[in-house]
Amino acid sequence: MQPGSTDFGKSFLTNSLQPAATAVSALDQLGTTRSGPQRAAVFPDTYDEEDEDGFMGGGASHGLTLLPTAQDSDDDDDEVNSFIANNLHTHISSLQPNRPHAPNGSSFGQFADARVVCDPLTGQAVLRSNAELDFADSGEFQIDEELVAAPELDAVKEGVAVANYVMHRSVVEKAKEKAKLAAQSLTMFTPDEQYRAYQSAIDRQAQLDSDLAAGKRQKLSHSDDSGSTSALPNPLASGSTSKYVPSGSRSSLFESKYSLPPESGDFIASRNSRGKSLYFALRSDIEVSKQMDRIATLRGEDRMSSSQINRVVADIEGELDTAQALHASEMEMVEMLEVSAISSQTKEHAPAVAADSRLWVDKYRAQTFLDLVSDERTNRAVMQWLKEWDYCVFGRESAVTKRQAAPATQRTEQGKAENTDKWKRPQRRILLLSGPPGLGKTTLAHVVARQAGYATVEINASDDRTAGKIKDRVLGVTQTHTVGLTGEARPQLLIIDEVDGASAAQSAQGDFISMLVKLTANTEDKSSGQASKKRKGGDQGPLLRPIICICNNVYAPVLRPLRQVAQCYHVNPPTSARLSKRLEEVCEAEGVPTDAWGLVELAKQNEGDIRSCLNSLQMISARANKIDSESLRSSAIGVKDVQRSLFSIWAMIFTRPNASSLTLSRSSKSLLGKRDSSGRVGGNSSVDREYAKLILDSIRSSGEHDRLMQGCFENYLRMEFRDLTHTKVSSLCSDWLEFYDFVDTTCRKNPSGSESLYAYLEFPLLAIHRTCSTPMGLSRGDFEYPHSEFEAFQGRQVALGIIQSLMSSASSARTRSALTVNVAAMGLIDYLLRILSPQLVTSNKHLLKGEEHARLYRLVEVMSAWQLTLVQNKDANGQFVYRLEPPIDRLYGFPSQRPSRPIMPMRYPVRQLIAQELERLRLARLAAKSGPVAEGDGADAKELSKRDYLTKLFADPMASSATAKLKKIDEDGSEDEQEPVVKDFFGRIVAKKKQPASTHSPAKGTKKAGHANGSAERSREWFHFFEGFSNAVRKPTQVNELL
Amino acid sequence: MALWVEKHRPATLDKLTFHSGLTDHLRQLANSGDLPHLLVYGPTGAGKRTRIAAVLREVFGPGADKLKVSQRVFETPTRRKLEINLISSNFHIEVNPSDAGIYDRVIIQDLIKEIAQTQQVATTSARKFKVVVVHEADALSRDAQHALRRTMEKYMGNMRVILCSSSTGKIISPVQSRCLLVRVAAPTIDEVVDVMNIVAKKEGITVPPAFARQLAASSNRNLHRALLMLEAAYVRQYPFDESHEPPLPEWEEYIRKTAHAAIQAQTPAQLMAIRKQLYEVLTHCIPASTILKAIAMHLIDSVGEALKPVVAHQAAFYEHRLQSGQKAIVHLEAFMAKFMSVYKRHLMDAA
Repeated sequence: MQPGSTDFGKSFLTNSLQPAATAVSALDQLGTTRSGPQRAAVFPDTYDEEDEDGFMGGGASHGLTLLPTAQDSDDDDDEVNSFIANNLHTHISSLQPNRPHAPNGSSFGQFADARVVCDPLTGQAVLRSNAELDFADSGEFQIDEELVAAPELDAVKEGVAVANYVMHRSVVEKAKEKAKLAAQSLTMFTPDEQYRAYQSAIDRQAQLDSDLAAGKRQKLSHSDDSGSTSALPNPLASGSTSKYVPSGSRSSLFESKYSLPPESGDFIASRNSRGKSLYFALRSDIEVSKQMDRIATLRGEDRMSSSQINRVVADIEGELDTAQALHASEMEMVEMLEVSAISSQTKEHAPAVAADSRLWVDKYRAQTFLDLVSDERTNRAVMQWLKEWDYCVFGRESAVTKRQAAPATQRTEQGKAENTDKWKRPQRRILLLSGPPGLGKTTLAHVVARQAGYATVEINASDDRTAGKIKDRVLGVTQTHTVGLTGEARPQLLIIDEVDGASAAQSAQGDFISMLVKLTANTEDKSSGQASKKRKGGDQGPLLRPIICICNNVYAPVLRPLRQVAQCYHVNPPTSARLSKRLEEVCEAEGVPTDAWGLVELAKQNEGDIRSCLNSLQMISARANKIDSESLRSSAIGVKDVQRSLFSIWAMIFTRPNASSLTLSRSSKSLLGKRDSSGRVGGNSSVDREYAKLILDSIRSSGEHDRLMQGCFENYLRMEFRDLTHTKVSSLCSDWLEFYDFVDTTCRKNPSGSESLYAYLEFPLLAIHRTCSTPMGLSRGDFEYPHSEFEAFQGRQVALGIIQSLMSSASSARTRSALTVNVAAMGLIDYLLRILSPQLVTSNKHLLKGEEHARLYRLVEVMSAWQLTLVQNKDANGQFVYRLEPPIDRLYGFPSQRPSRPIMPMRYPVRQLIAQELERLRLARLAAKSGPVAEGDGADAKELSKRDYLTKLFADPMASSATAKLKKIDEDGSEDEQEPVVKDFFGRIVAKKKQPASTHSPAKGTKKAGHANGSAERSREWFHFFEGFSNAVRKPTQVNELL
Repeated sequence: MALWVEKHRPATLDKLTFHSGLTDHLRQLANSGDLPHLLVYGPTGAGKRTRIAAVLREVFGPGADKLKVSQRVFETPTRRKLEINLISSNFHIEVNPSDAGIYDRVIIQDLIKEIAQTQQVATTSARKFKVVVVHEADALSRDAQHALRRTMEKYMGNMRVILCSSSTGKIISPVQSRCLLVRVAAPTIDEVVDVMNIVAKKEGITVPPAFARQLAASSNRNLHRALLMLEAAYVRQYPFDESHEPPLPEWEEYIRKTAHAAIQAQTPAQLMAIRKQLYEVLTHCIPASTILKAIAMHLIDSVGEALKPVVAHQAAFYEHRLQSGQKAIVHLEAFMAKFMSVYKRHLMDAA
């Protein structure tokens, strides 16, 4: 703490220490008696260019630094800027890990980490301030000194000392031992917290919604890049770029990076908590501003137990803005901060030591919302959805819902649905995230949940997911709080991962998905009757906690019910630029030199799969000390083992290789098909060989010989052949394609016995490559996905179905016995249709004349013999048409050939006539069937076989019994002699009356003839029914006539 | 009223018109009191089924004509249920195992064993055995045929088998040797004309002799088809228009065009077009070997003398391959490609 003798100048130190002292005293005045970490924080501010933002940013700064006047007093913009630039974002915490009485012990690891990050920053900031002399005027340290135990206070002082020390070169030597302690105490506000403070300011003003804020953030970060000469980097702004390297990596990162003094230029030496010496190079202004950006990303996770901060924030803000209406939103922010801080603590305090042994995937997993690499739009949408639960879960209006209410800020997305729910929950109570693996869906869910103040409970495929179990868990989650380390309860949020893998198996309570759906639905019925806000217990309360489901394939059949009730978001792969930037950061954090192009390529290859990118990177870095496009290419492990798409394999097969395509194929095989080539490299058979190997590999890895072969077969004729005598095609066809078919047939017939044959299945494909490939790949048009085989198969099935239905409706068993599918297909149907196509012109039955009449009846007879009918329905234009049923006319002719003669009378009226006649005939037949038939006659046997079927088919008791009478008597008059029992209308047995067989009552006979079964027996009176009418005709008849 | 083909099908041996020598043989067999296993083979439309039915009637009397259709469910070893239509009388049962695809063995085993193990109980029957008629026996898989060969011996006392097939080529020789082979040749054109005249007489129409001959010729001596053609022609116009060429089935016309296409151009693109046509024909349930044969016939008609044997040879070659393979289209296309290659070289040599 002594004034330095270096070129920094005295004024600097004195000026900078004074505010620190004031900060300490200010905190004392606040009287906050907390034993949390102490910190010194200085906030930069670039907002002075925009009044509003400047105010807010300033407000945020004020809140955090307790020194609003320090900036306000600066009239000169430039001075403010430089002040900002030189601010040190240090957060000094003087607690040491081994302090037994420190209550927040869990956060020590974090602080230790954080400090390391801090150090270089501090160093840089200082150095920059050296460059600008007016730092001395404006550069300040503030220390939030909160009440601490005496030894801790000492530590704070040491921390302050060190904070100054790192700024001051002259004390470097002297403070070395102290640095051990003090370095541990350096930390800073995370940009994230700043952001939130910033956001709380926004909320307070109720002017910007989160979208706007995000937009602003982006804008600001842009202005950082562009305006670095005038406006110096703003941690707030740069902090809002959403890429951060999470905490775990930092110690090792900086140890490796700063473990050696820079080769040239000035530097500052320091130590980290492990006592390792670190050397920080002095940088120029521009360098610093650039690095600020990067560091902002690196320190992303340097969150500390910020409850104190938050309280300070709240207090200050409360002072600044006393409006009570807005108080709630601040509290919300505070709570959020607390929650996130706690969660990060619990998460991070774990293995700082074992950091290096972790997978990069875990190490650099996004920890905060801003770290997420996935599509920001989705991220925000998810966050927004979650915030809509705030009223329900936290019992207070969230910013989102409030904004929804505010008419001034109506936005398309939010203003749409009036939330009528009593708990003001979002309309859709389940969130369904979908997207290919490795894009960070799970991370997104966890991060968002944590950030919004929830404790997450995850159910994934490794858990038992039967409906019963899930019900218990869901209820448990939605109705309880976790007890955090601070003793504060946090509501839980359920994350159901890999939900598309849920089995559709039914259990006693239904399957898992419908259980979920029921949860949401159940809520709705009950919500109306609920009086208390949060109902606990009971069989199944309303769903009061958000549920996030994650799946890969949102269209999995099992998810169909869920899809309808859930809010679905698809997570898109990040752009390769964005992903590669993140990869670059990781590499930098790991101290692995990289090459931007290589990373972009890697990102592309993995199709945005962050996980596999990181895994590949780690793998490569373990082998090589450098990652560039060269090393990516030369090591096969750099390539995600994608099952190459069928199309790309087809493209490979049909593309003739050249030298360049081979090398390319290593890294980006999928590009092969599209690569142009300068022609075949003369005589290089090794290329061919290599390439052939490659093709075989791809075929093997795809494993879909059949599909591949089908595709080749359907497309090989599209290739350009230089084949004058057509021999190539012929030999290819007969040698290789047929060979494939033989092998395939054998394999299919005897799958277990012919394993050895499977190996040969891929070679015909290679043969196709040899014969058909051209340098240009597929020459004409696009490759067609093979479908003709399947279409032909389907067509055959349809045809078979028609033929079989025709066969089964053949009138006599004799006909059927002679009928086979082949017979029918190869001639019968054609001729049958021709026989069914007589010339009929007249459509009015009464106008039919001899010839035509005969033709019509012949047609109807044949049709009824085959049980062909004409069915009326509507065609696509809404016109009524009569269609043949079964539709054997579909088997007539070929689409590409006009039939030699049209079949079937086509005109509608004619068809209608035929249909009517058919119906009449059918009824007549029916009547014949229902009359008892004597056995032993050939014709009757036929009838018998059909009778059951027919009566079943056309069960119409009135018609059949009525027409039965008609037919029976009409036909030959030889009524049944031994009709066993005759029942009257009421089912009573009627005694048979012999001669003279008069009816019981003529009136009944006529009126209720339909029911009076048997009454016509041997009667002199008989009646004639027309179907559907009762205009019976009586006619006296002699018994003799009937005998 | 059924079609003429059905309506005028002779029901007894006495009414059969042609192959009188064969008819006598069959009558003798039927009256001998016993019946060997029969393998009836011959081209379609020659009257195999008619003869089988007539023999059955001869053996069992009119009861054999009382047919009923029933559905039976068979279960495969893989627990798949197969529904098979059976046509049966009291004395015999007819089955078409091609309905069951690759599971025909199951049907043969179950059905035949079931029948063979039950004695004939109908007292009216003069015979002690029942008959199983297997239609389309050439479609029987090897497994099914092997299943047949033992049962044919074992249950000889209770059961006779009549196999109906278009050729003996696909019947394994052990089965052939257990059967009496009955060849039913296609009727000659004159015989077809005779039958047509009989039918015409029954229907009360007259067929001009020249027209009848024309029909018989274009039906390829397939009596079934000839009668269908006659009826179709009658429906179209009566009295018959002698100048009207009797129409072939659509698919045959189509295949003729396909064959023609192969002769017109020999390029991959043409082959592609041909493949499409072949697919269409296959979609119409026309058997692949029939297609190949029909195409080969058309090709042989259209190429020069020197090439005819080559085409015939190739057709035989590829039909053989067709039988051993699974995807018909590949082999049909291979044949077409081969033909194109041969034909093109021939043209170039000639030029």
